[in-house]
Amino acid sequence: MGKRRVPEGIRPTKVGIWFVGLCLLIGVAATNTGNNALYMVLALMLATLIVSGVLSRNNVRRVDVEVDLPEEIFAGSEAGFQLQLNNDSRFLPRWLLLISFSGQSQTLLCSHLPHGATRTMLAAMTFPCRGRQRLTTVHLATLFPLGLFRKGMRQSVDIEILVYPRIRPGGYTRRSSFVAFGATPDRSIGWGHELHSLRPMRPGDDLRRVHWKQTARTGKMIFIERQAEQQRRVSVVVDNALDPSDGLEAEEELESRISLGASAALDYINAGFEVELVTRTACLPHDGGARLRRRVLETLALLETVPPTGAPLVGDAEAALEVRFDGASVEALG
Amino acid sequence: MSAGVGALRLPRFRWRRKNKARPGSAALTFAREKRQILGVLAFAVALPFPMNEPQPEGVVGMPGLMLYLSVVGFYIWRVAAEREATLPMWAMNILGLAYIPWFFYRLRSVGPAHIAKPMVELLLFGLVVKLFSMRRESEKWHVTVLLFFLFVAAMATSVHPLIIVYLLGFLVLWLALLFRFVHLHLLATYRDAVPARRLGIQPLLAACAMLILAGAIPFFTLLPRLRTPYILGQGINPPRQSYSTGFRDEVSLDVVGNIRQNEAVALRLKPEGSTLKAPRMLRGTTYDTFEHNAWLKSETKSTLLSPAAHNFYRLRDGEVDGKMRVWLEPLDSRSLILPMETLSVEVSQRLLSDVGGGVLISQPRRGILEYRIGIGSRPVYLADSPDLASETEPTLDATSVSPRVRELSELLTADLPKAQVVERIEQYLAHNYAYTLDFLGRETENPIEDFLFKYRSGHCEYFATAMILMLRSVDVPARLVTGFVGAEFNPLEDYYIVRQSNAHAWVEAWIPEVGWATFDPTPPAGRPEIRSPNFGMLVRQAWDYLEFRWDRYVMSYGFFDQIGLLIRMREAWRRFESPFKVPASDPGGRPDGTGPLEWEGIPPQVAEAFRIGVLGLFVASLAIGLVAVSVFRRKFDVTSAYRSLRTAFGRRDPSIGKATAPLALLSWAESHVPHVAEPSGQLIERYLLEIYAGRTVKGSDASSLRRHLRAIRSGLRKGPRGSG
Repeated sequence: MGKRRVPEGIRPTKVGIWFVGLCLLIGVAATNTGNNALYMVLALMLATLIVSGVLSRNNVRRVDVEVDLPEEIFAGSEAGFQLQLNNDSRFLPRWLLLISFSGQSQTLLCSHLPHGATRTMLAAMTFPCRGRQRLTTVHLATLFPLGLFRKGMRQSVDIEILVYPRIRPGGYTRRSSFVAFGATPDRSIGWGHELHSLRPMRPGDDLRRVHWKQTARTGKMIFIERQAEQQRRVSVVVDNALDPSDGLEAEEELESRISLGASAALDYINAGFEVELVTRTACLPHDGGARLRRRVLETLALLETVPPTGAPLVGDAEAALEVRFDGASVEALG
Repeated sequence: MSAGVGALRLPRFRWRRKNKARPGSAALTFAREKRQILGVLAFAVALPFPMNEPQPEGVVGMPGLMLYLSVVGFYIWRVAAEREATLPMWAMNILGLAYIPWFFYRLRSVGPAHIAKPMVELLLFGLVVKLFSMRRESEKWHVTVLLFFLFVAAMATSVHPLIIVYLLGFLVLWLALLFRFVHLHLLATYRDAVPARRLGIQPLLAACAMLILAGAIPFFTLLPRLRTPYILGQGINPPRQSYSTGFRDEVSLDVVGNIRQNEAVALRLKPEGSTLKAPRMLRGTTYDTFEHNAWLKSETKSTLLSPAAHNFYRLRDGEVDGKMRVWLEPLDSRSLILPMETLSVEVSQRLLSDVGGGVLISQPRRGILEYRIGIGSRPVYLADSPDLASETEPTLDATSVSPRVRELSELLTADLPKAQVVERIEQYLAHNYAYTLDFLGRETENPIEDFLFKYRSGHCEYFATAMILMLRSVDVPARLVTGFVGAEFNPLEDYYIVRQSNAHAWVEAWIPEVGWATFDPTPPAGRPEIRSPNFGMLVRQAWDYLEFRWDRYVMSYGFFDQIGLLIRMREAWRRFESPFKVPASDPGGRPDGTGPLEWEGIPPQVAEAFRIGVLGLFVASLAIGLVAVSVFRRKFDVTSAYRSLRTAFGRRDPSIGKATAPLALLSWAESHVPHVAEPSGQLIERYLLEIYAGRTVKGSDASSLRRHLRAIRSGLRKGPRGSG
């Protein structure tokens, strides 16, 4: 991470402009009357301007800012960035520091930072849209000591951030009846993996399912009955086709689809489903857990539009449920 | 983000009956604090007004100030007690309407000369009203601007040196106010991510004030002065006029008596040379006509003196024993106070001479007048000889001489030659009459006759007048001279102070063989003398030293002082660089002409001072360097040792940098510089232990680290043993 610091110049505040105006007024009065008491006041005011400027400039120097990123950043939601403020000065504390990220975050105030000290603070920032974002600079500013000038310092941080799609309020798993679907054991007898019961062998039973240990122990042919299993697989289909001639509304609708797709996928993953993500440019096979969650979010964060083709977008045929986020189904599910 | 303090947007609020600070209601607390600060400043800002010009009552009289302070004190109390401190709008309107006629009445009553008075009163009224009508947060800036104008008014109308205390106090208060306002504004606008219980700003503000003061000095010195320094000093304004005898065209008999009780400084004299003593008598002007118990000048016409050189006037030829610099306070007079022995005057004004030999300046002055005089060994009389044959000769005018006075003088001087007549009358008055300043209950019909025959006591003007009338009654020309006698020495800067109490009146009489001569019939007890120092005088002199400096270098500082300063700076620079420059004809140059680098040709004092200066500079630099090294020396620890190691290896292999891991560094050492691998391994091991296991390096370990580092550096420099 580069730490280049660039001074942003010195800008007079309203009070500073008033102060300069009063300086001019007193200057005219002093010159006009020859009154040395007025010259004294004027000299003090001019010296105040200089000392204030110098102290203001010094106050933002030798202050180092380090940024720690949050694990996940979703568009439209506040993300907490941890800022570590180090005062590298050997002698002088720093007062009234204002810290912000390129105008994107709220401005934080650090009233007092002793020399050689480090302070940690949390800056909340909200990104409006998904995709790759760059945090190029951290702004340090100060009105110290008298509020006559605002002195700024820009420190380059150059961080690339992947902003995940906006997440809508959850409830997909509760809302639909397919909550019972998936690869969970059913209580009926079937061909799953879990044991249902043991019973004596009957004619016509498959010999491959004889429980040989029990047969040897009891002297009777014992048959294993297994539970039936149902699929808990969901295909989340997000259609990212967009005609370039379509307007802004279509783009917004696509973003909405992606947002809904991400919300649904996260819901199902959190509920223990195996989720398959199908888009026109990328396809993630059925999987679950944290790894898939990250891959789904990354894929949807970087999802780009493609021109529409005639081929329909189809998920895995074995999936118990297909959640479609295309032009037709968004309304129903969203 | 807000543009600055001016864009302050605190919640709008009104004070309530009992405005307890509510939890989380920071803005309310902030607002109260701001009001308290403004109240304190408003209280302090008006304090100097009664002491300021125009005196004696000041810009604002004591009753007006007390009223103002009471109101502001009430405001501060209300704010501190968290009670409502705002007046209803209708009350404000009534107050404002009521003040308008009062303002115009004041304008008419004080006149245009003292227009500052009603204006300052208006500002004070406006400030009080604004304090009590502050409802919005932004209105605090209105109050601040009003406070600033009052502060400027207090400064501009003061000539007292103690105003510097007020200035310093207010500088600190202004700094505190501005800083606190900024802080409160930021606290109210932004989230304080790291709240601090104590800011510890006081030392910085104190340092800031000192820096501002230091920075203001060059500004004050160099800001261009286009006009004559404007001083509202003593003697300028009618209520404070304190006429010295002789500094008007007409002086009554009681003027000197009044002045003798005034301890104000009239002038200061500084001899340019240690041997020159203070002149005993300083002549002001002369009077030749005594009418209706007052002295007048018979002829006010004066002659323009022609300068011998620019700003240089030779009054009389003669050998100048020494020079003396004089600073004359404003005395509401054009008379130039000169020692009796003055031969020449250097002054920046045109000079004139009156018929009595008094020297005048062409323009009346408002500030201190500085001039330089050449002193001879004998008194100098510039007046012409009297026309003894003329009946209208004013110095022989005896119309005011009563028969009893004439009788007395004839009795005293019978059968005496002219030369002894004057001394006889002088001795008679000095030995037979008493000096007093107490004239309570005396009649004023015929004061000189009463003095001579009834009361037999008076002050110098009575003695001198009586002597003159007695001399004129026996046809000896005589006139009254007023001026100053005696002075006190101020050892703080080796100058003499002449106060108003040193004012004196004496006699100049014409003696045919001698010319004009000075006589003083006042008994020694009544003559102002050079006073012996005591503690009280020392205190007074210390104060005078301060006042003198203030008047001379601050209040009267003007364009010509700036020019003088620049000339002195140029001369100082030339003196500084002269050791480095050797003229072309410098005999100290080398014979072969390769360059004159020897010290010959330079005055030994300059060379010595230069050598001492260079040596001092060297010693100071060394001391500063040592202090800086001790302050800035990096503490030796395992991290710094590891960084040194990495840097040393980095010089061998550019691929080694900050990103190289410690163990990778060790493996590089083992493969590339195996002869230093062992100490490198130990150092890296210590580094890893400290960084990852938290085992800090202490005393003996630090010395072993240094040893390892030395070994590594040495090994890298020398290469493996036996490699040749």
